[in-house]
Amino acid sequence: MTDLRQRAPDTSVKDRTGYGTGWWLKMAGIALLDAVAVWAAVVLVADGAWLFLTGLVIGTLFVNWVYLWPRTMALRWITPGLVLMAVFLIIPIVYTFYISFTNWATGNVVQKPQAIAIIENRSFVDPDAPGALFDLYVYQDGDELRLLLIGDDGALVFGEPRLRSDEARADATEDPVALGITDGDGDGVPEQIGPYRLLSRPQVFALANTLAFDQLVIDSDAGQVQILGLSQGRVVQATQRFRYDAATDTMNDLVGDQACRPGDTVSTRGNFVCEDGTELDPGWVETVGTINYTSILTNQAIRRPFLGVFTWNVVFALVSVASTFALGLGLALTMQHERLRGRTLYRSIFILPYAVPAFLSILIWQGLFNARFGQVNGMLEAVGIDPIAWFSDPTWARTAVLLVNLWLGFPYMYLICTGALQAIPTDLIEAARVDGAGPFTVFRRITFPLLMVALAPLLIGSFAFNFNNFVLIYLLTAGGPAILDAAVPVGATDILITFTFDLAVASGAGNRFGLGAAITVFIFILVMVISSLSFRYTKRLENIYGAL
Amino acid sequence: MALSERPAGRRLLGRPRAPKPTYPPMSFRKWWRTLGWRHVVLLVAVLFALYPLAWMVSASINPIDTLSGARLIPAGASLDNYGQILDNPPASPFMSWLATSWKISLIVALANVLLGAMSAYAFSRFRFTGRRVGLLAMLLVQVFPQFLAFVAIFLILDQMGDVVPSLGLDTHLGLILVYLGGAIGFNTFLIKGFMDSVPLSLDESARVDGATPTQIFWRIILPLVRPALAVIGVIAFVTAFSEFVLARTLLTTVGNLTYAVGLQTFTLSEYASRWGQLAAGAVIGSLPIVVTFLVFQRAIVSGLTQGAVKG
Repeated sequence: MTDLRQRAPDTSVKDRTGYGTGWWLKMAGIALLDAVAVWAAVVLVADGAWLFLTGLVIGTLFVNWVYLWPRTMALRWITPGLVLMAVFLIIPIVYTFYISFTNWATGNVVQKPQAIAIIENRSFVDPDAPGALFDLYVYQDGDELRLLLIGDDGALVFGEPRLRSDEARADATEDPVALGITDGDGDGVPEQIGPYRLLSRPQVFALANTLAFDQLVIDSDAGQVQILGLSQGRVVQATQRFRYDAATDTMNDLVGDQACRPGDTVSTRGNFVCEDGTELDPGWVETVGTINYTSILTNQAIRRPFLGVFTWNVVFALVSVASTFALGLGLALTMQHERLRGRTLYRSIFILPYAVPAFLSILIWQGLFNARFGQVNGMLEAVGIDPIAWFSDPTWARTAVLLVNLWLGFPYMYLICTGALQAIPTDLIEAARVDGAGPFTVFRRITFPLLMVALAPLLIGSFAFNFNNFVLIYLLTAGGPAILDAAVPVGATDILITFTFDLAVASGAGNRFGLGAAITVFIFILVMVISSLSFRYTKRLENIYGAL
Repeated sequence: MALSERPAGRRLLGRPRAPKPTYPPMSFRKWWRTLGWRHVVLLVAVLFALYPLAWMVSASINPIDTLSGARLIPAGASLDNYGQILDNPPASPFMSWLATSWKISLIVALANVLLGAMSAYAFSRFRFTGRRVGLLAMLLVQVFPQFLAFVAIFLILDQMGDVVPSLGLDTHLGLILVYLGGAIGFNTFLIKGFMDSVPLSLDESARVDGATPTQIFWRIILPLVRPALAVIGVIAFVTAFSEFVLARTLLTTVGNLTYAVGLQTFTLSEYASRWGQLAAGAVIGSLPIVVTFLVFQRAIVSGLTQGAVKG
């Protein structure tokens, strides 16, 4: 057959003359995309996010070229998928590699210029400065608390207080006159300001039982108002404490009269460290070379849990594949008999664990294994076995994980084994029988080897899937029971990806994106090795080439 | 092997079944040795397969929130748990979560199939430089499970949200786009296989009749590979429906969660006491999917052997 595909289809005529609905739709789509891109570019320039801006410009130019240039037929069909794949699969993978070489973590999430700006903007109020004294009055509207301060010269400050330990805010004060002042008795202290009502002294005393007044401040334009007690406050000018010197890359502490320089040890990289040893927050994102990788390998606090998790991860994946395959194959062989009735019914039932979305059945299993209320222990009790602490004992927790995974995984193995068994030519088996081989020999010498040829790549795929079986571990045991003496949050059933997840986003100790990404890269490499094995087995690549 | 090519002798949908062969009767001993033990083994496996599912249904109709019930059919069975779930309580809005999951999964399944079919069409029908390398690269990149890069995806969406808020964290559109990017390569490869089995002579004669590539795609190729697309769509749907890591990382507001994440947070907060509701939620969530699987068993099973993986 001559290959008619060798010629690109000639559509240029239609393209140049046709201004049909399709053409207008296309143009409208591109116009919309470009409009959004221009707008996004403006925002990105304002943010100073140059990396994202570059990506946006390249992407937009590419899409415009594809759809406006006349000779890009094939790309027009591929581009929508390609763009999505680039943005949400390829770039994240590359980005993960980059993050693994940084110190990105809670406290180090902004770029250096932003961190410097935040530190410089932080106001400093001298706790011992005298300041001007003001009289204090308290107002309330429901849950809302407002303070009014009246100076000797009649100056007014009215606003919402915050705790000293909270972040400073810009819009804490309001203009009492604009809100509407009601001063019935004419003593100069309004009974009502807008919706807020003046509290009597007893009411203020009552309030003071639950609220530490001397910890309150109001950020006003005139300076910081510090509340001194129940009847007085003072206004103190805030000053700048830190000033950055770009020439020496030093943050000077004007109050403590010391210099703070970028840290150079593993734990202080990306933060200014002062001469007295204090670290300034926030820090910034900095590339730190291979620190994350070396700390996995050399830092005892991370290496020990990491090795434990890795070992269990491999064991878990291997045992899962082996047990599900054994059960699946066993069932497939048991059902291989043409006189067996009810095969369709059996199959429909065996497909059920596979059909129910895994996250639902895992949650149910979690309930069934519950030590105190679970049905599993109830059943054991009925036959005289003591209840088992499924999720608090490491060994039993691992057993439960493997049991549930056997339930989840055997239908898939059963289905693919059935398919592969049917594909084995019966005359081979007949011939062996005629030669006097028993059923066991036939299975060992003929059926099983042929089965492995067909199923090896699927088994490797199953290993790769189970190696990263996040949902099972996370929903069944959440990695637990926790290993208490470890320096990082880790449990006896944690696999690498759940360990990474806790480390990166879910742990109470803050996010350690850099370290998490380094472990992810490690998993990437493992996945790559496993997949190359699989490709080798299937010769899938050659098949692709054959199909081209 | 394409989905449409079934091994000879297997029943095609809608065609009459071949008459069953009749076998001579056998003695009980012989029956036991050839068939009886098989039934015993299979029945044990059936018990194992049905064990959690039976208790799921049992607990869902049990008025007392218990999962250690000694009887599979509880005393005073009622549909109260279902009623409570259908009420969509604000603290754990099951119905909103379910609607979110259905919305996201349907859009992802449809768009995935369409985008995959479009790129597969290009790879199957056009000749262009970089075609071979492109297809290969798409497949190799797909080796990495997308969810492993959740940290990077989180940070990218965070940045995107600064620019276009409706694409940022805690948005369904953002999550949909992330899902779409995750499986395009593999679906392209799968669908291309099916398109290659559609004879080129069909395109050629249509082109002679003046059809554009767009018309050939919509009117000739797509209808012919529709059964395969349906299977890929079902698997894409279930995968998106069951996806947990990215949904958990990207969505935060309680009312905004998918069913998988919502139910997990529910188990963390009220598990010990509200087991009946969880079980009823699991029944409601799984029923449509289980029915789909049972109806399309054959097609899905043959899809499996092609390497399609359900999450």
